[in-house]
Amino acid sequence: MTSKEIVGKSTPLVDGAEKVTGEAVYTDDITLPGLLVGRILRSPHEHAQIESIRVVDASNLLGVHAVAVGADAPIRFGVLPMTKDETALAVDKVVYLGDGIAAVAADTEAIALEALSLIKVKTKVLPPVLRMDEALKPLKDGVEKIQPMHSYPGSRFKEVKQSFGDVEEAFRDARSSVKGSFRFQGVTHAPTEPHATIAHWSAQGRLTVWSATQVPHYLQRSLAEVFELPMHKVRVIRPYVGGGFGGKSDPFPHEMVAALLAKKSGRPVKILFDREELFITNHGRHPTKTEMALSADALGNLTALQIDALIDGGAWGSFGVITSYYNGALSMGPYKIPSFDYRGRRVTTNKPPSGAMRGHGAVNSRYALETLLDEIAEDLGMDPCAIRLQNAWQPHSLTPNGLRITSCGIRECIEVVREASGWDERRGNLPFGKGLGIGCGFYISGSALPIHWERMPQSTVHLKVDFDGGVTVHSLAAEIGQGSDTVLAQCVAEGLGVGLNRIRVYTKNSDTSPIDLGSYSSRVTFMAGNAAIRAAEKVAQQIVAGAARLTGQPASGFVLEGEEVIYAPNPTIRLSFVDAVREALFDSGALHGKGHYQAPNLNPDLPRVEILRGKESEKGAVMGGTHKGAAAGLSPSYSMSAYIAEVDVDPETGIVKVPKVWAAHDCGFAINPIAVEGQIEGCVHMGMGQALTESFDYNRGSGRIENANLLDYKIIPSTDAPEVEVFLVESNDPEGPYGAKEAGEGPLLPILPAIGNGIHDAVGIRMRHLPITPDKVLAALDKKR
Amino acid sequence: MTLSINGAQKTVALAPHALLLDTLRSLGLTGTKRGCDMGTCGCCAVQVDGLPVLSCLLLTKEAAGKEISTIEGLGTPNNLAPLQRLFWEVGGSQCGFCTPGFLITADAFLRSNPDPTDQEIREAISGNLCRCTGYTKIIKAIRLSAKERAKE
Amino acid sequence: MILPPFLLHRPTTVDEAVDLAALHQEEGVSFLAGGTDLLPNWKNRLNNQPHLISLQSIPSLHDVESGKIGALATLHSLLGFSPLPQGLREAIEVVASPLIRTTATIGGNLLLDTRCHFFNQSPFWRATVGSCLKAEGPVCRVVPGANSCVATFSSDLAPLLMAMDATLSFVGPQGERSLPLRTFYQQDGIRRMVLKPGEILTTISWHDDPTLLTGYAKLRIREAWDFPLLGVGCAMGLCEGYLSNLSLFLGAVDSIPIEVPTESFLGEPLTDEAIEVIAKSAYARVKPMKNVGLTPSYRKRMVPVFVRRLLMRLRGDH
Ligand SMILES: Cc1cc2nc3c(=O)[nH]c(=O)nc-3n(C[C@H](O)[C@H](O)[C@H](O)COP(=O)(O)OP(=O)(O)OC[C@H]3O[C@@H](n4cnc5c(N)ncnc54)[C@H](O)[C@@H]3O)c2cc1C
Ligand code: SF4
Ligand code: FES
Ligand code: FES
Repeated sequence: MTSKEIVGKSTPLVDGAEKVTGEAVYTDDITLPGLLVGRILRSPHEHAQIESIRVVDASNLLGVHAVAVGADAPIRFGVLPMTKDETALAVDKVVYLGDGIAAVAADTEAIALEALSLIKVKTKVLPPVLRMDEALKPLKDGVEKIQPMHSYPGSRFKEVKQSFGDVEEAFRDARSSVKGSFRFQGVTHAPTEPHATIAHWSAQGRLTVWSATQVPHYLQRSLAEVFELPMHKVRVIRPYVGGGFGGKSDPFPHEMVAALLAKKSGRPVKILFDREELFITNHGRHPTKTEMALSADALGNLTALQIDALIDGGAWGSFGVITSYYNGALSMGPYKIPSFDYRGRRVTTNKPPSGAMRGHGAVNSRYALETLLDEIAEDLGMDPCAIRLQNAWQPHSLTPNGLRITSCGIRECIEVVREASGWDERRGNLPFGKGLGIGCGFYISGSALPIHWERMPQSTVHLKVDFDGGVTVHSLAAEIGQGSDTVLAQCVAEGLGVGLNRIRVYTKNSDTSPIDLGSYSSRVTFMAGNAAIRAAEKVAQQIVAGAARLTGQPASGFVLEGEEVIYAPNPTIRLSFVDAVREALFDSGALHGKGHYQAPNLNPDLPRVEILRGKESEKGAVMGGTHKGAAAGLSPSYSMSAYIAEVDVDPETGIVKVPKVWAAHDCGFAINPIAVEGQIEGCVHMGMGQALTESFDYNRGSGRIENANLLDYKIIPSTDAPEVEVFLVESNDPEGPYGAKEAGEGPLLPILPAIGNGIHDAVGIRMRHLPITPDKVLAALDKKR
Repeated sequence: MTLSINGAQKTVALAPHALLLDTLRSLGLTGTKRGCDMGTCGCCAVQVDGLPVLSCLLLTKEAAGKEISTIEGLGTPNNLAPLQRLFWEVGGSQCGFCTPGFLITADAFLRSNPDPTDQEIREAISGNLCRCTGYTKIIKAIRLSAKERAKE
Repeated sequence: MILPPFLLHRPTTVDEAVDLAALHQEEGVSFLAGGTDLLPNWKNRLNNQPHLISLQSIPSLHDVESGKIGALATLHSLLGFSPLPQGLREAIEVVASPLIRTTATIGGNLLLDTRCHFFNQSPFWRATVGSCLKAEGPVCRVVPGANSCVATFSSDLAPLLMAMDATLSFVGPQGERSLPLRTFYQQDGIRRMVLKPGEILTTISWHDDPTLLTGYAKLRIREAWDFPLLGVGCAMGLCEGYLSNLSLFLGAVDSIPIEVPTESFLGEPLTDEAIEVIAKSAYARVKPMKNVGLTPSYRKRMVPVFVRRLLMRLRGDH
């Protein structure tokens, strides 16, 4: 096909009419006959041994149908197979303030709450570990290890080291080198829809769970493990999901609890979180301390980068092993830095678990790197845009840590925002208090190595075309508002040369949809999109065969376009799509086609099976390179971005405002430009929150969140959100679907440093602690004065 | 007791402490969303006598005798209100969870201010939280809707 | 977050409301206006009572006329009312969010409960620390040795209406009374005002003086939702450059609004030096507590900045 009809055109979301009319059904909108209300009793202690739980009074309460405790479902689960440390409810001990202890299912919420108050828990409070520096030290006498199952000593969870080139020499020879200590508070996803789950066991012993999840498949897996069922005995239904941002990308204890209560009561059970519970159970971005050093030669070529990241994992593993690597690995783009030294340490503390949040693992290091890069530019008397352009990777490069960069539009990104913002004329020439700052980004389009190292496809898409002329798309790729259903519909419509109104997308039900690993790590457009294209090709072949049979022309000459099947050598020979379909299926039944996606072997020297079976410790060699952890950060493709932010700083109050952002993102190809823009605008908003206002605050050094509500946890409102001008850069990725790569997470990275660097341009201070609250700005200004 | 919802009379049996949000949702009007239950997100906004209010902070009995309008009354998939169509067309709705609240707010706002500036739009929707869109396309949808109304 | 059960009463006259309150006083009563302060607190199981008397259906309490406003007038409705003193408009426009202002009332705003990180929390949260004085606990968690509560009074309208020297009228079991707003608040985060049991605030009034310059300035992190971290309300009379009247109240830095003395400047021109002196004395009078957002030292530091800026703005500077 030459010209593209559907992909590349701004397309309103295929499920949008339901959303604007309120018809879209989210999990909490579902009721079932006999539905009970489930509630969880949460630990008031950060760390405590459970000595006994007395539930009889709760069980005897009228209207209570089930009471559950940890011992009822003690099997451990977790999103990463190597660090399964969660249970449905605490077994033996609680590890953070808010950890679930027991749960009830009752006729009404009021009864459920009363029942919780009747549960008597005897605990022996254990000394908690709450600070990262404390967690690094050997355990004090009498202090119990928080998670005895993890192999690192004390409260350490994971330590990774990676080194490439001679960093020491590079720093010695550098013309300019800068370093800094950066601190990042934890932040959380805060989707507008609270977590909600309904579980129901059928008479045949099958478990159905409806849940607001980004990862139906991992949920299905975990439920199967915890309830010791074959996976096919578990059905996961994902209703409409009100935002995720990584916050719904773990299989969660409350999902296990709902299933447990449903099993015990023999009735369907719904658990709906209140807003406080979302904060308490968190899984947000890790609080981080980053020590970073960067060097350059006299010409402004970067020579070395050294990162030491210490991240606070809270009580559970979650995605933490990956986060531990990403804080380093994803700093190797978009700039060429020949030598690199990284140490990443994640500690376990008695705080709400940290996990994956939009821009997973890359956001904090990115802020530090882009800040130091600005300082180097200043030191060398170079323009911040110029130094970035000079060091940017070329397409088709291999980074020192083995990341294969294919398409690479970073230069264009920088140039376009530089031009649009009037950077060359305005920067440095604005009045005191007004500034322009730049930041860039680099992010994966899905992880090449899946979480479970097995030889299974990462995405599969099924198509069905029947003689009604409708095209049905099945996949478990989770639509969470990012528009993935629409991308799938577009890819299929394009492949079959038909209009979108023929396409029906079904991605909600694990029984009927082939497995896709889910909506995390920015993988869906790339992976499920490719699978959809392949599925469409398979069906197109069958349709063409029908057309060939009917017209007597060779199949090789047909194209599908504009709802027609056209014989290209003689375009007067053409059939309507439906006629061709009917011919193709009359003697075989509905047409089916499937396509799948499996990331390429990014290390061609190794046979694929070998790689996927290989354990990094045993084989020493996995995809990408041969160093330990080489697979972390490997992706079939990388997005790039560059933003410039205009920043106003009130030097007397320290209040920072961001009136305008110019945002350029290389998404390879925008299958749905309006959705890509939406992702970028949303990322600017969320990243600005982390930069300026959002922060997990703990009350007086405890493990108790002080601001577990949307009044005190400060998400940017419309009045404070910047005007965003978006520029889509299309570098046409060789392996992406129609050339596309990710746009869901990478666009968050640049906004934080763009604001930080803008503050420097405005008032001459470098902010190294986020969020940049007005009191910190004033303190920095005082220091400078 | 009787409530007037989207122009129809509904008889409901109520506890004195029932909140309008719970009442509406129990009547199957689930387009009105529960985001925080504490007045901090705007997902539960409905119109009472034409003004947008938070149904999570309004006792149902206080709405008796008044005209309650919810998202379900604004337009249906086959007959979208212009504002709904524009939210959809320009990308003002991503996950959609905040969308009913925004539409309810914007609809009331445009009635009182048919020709708003962008700044006025920003202020009008500042009680509605959106975590997905960064507000840009929501503002655009409202602006375009005002323009369309002006043309008619 | 479900509400605890209670009985709802919906009287249609003030007298009926007062009688109902007297009748149920023993068991415990609260009045409901817009409910935007009371209901979140009740959901958090704070101050709950078995009887709730809604004032919504009492028509007379909604009346609005120039200089005299029914306590149940919503903030939204007041924005549509003219003439409205400029400072009052400024203060109303920065309360909470537009969706809250459609139900929030002016009376409820003046009677707003005080706020504190240890108080405005869920029952679960509070149970993890142990209750504090304001929630029937043994100690203050902010100032451990204190024998009174230092929660922050965060009404945006109170400092401005105090600067305007507004008067409150009440009806209660003992009949009617009026009180200058300036004498209404009492230094204590729990009692915080001299409202008698069963008393209803009926009107807020002030002497309508079109020459009076009024203004309000608010420190907050976000331009929506956020309670003030500092509020400065000011009423100023300027006669050919000379101060004929100046009152200045600071909100959200204590359990009640704090007055900044200004008498010595009356009859003088409002010079930069005078403004500086006033700003300094404002600074000296506050001691914010660590119980709401941002640090107390920052909030204190902002006092002279906000005072100076507001005075300059009212003086006509740009
Ligand atoms: C998210 C959020 C943000 C907020 N932000 C702000 C803000 O920025 N600034 C601000 O000032 N406020 C803020 N508020 C608080 C509140 O919304 C306002 O102060 C509002 O004006 C209170 O009025 P109301 O009518 O809703 O009061 P209600 O909640 O009805 O009443 C408050 C108290 O006064 C009593 N009461 C009310 N009226 C009478 C009467 N006539 N006679 C006797 N007693 C009475 C009630 O019993 C109750 O104790 C916020 C609230 C929320 C939920
Ligand atoms: S100031 Fe002290 S007594 Fe008052 S609410 Fe806060 S902790 Fe409680
Ligand atoms: S649910 Fe009512 S404001 Fe959030
Ligand atoms: S569209 Fe998801 S919160 Fe607004």
